Amino acid sequence: MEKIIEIKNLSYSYPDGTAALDNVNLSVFMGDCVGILGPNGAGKTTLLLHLNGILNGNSSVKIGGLTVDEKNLSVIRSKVGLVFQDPDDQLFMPTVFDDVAFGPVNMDMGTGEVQKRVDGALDSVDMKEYKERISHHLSYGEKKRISLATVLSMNPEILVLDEPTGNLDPKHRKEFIKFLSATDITKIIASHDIDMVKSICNKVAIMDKGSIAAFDTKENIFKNKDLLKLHSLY
Amino acid sequence: MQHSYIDKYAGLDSFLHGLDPRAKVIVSFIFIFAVVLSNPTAYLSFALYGLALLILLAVSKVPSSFVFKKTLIVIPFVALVALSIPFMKGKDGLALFTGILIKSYLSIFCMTMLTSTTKFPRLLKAMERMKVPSIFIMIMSFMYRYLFVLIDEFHRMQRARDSRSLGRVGRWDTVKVLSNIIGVLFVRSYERAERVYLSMCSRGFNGEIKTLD
Repeated sequence: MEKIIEIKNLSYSYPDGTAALDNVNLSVFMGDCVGILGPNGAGKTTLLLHLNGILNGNSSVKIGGLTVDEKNLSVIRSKVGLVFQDPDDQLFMPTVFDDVAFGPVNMDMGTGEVQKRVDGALDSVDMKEYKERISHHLSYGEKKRISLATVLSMNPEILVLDEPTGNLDPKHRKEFIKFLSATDITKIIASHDIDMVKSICNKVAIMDKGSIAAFDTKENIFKNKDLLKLHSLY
Repeated sequence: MQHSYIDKYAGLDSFLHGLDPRAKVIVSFIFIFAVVLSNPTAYLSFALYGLALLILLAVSKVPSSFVFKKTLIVIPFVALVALSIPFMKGKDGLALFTGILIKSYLSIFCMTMLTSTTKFPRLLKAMERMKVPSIFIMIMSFMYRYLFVLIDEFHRMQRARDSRSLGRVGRWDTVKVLSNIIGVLFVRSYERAERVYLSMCSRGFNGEIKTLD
């Protein structure tokens, strides 16, 4: 199998000196769905921000064999679709259409292709009739789904999701999980939603205090109750 | 959350709503120029301008209470800025002052008519096609998108304050708490701007604003 993400000895401190990541190693294969669990402040979001070069620790992240650095940035960002936790950060254009088209337009696609991508992406999250709607008039669940469409329109090879089911009501959460398990793109999902990780991921990484405490198949991780308890997950 | 959007009534169906937004933008600007350039004591023309706006208001089906409320908000600011004018030497200051008040009211009225008969995204598209620099359009689109997020946030903080202040606050306390809220709001907006920028970068933004033609 092909390694699609390779992180070696990644460490990162925020400008104010707070150490956020400490010697992280992680390899993800094509088609994997990796759940990242861990208490608040464990460094999950910081790790995700390294996957498309928003943050750059010590250039030890490789996506599809390409090192994440300044010169590969545009290629990497078209391969890695990162969805932020707060949909009000993800949706910044006036209409849903403009938002979903933002990525494709930046990838220099022609008008026809952009239209096609937007329709396809909105269709896959079941929001096609929302195209002309205005983002701030939508409900939280609708915003969450459209957030996902904004990266699906870029046809990414890897989906990176920060807390995708957070704050969703049970019905929308279930729909979201169903949708995620149906797509076979490689996925990295940081979440506190253990049941969701259990149902869609095949591998689980546990993060605590900036490092990966455990990385194994879902079965092995969830069998180990002591491990879960140790990291406030049980 | 409870607040009215500036283009709350832009979805109505009337002759004015159906016009090409570009035409409306051009006419509004010509109107405002005419108002601003007319003599401060030309009360007859002011009355005619006002009448024209009232006719438009009637045609547009937009509730007049909405428009009047929106337009009155601006008057205190204008009055404050123009407060020194009546005391200027050598000119008829009071006439100038009323002139300015009337002119600014008519201009605001006109802008309110424009925004309440045109959906904001369509207004932006129209300006884009009229070759308004994309940086201005981007700024206005962010303003439109985040103004209400900000207002919501303000209301939430106000509510949190109210639920803990047990209704026994003096006026001075209110001012103190309000200034805190504004401070926190500023920091939050700053941080949000940072996150929005990151999310733009994640989707291939590299400083150059690209638009779909």
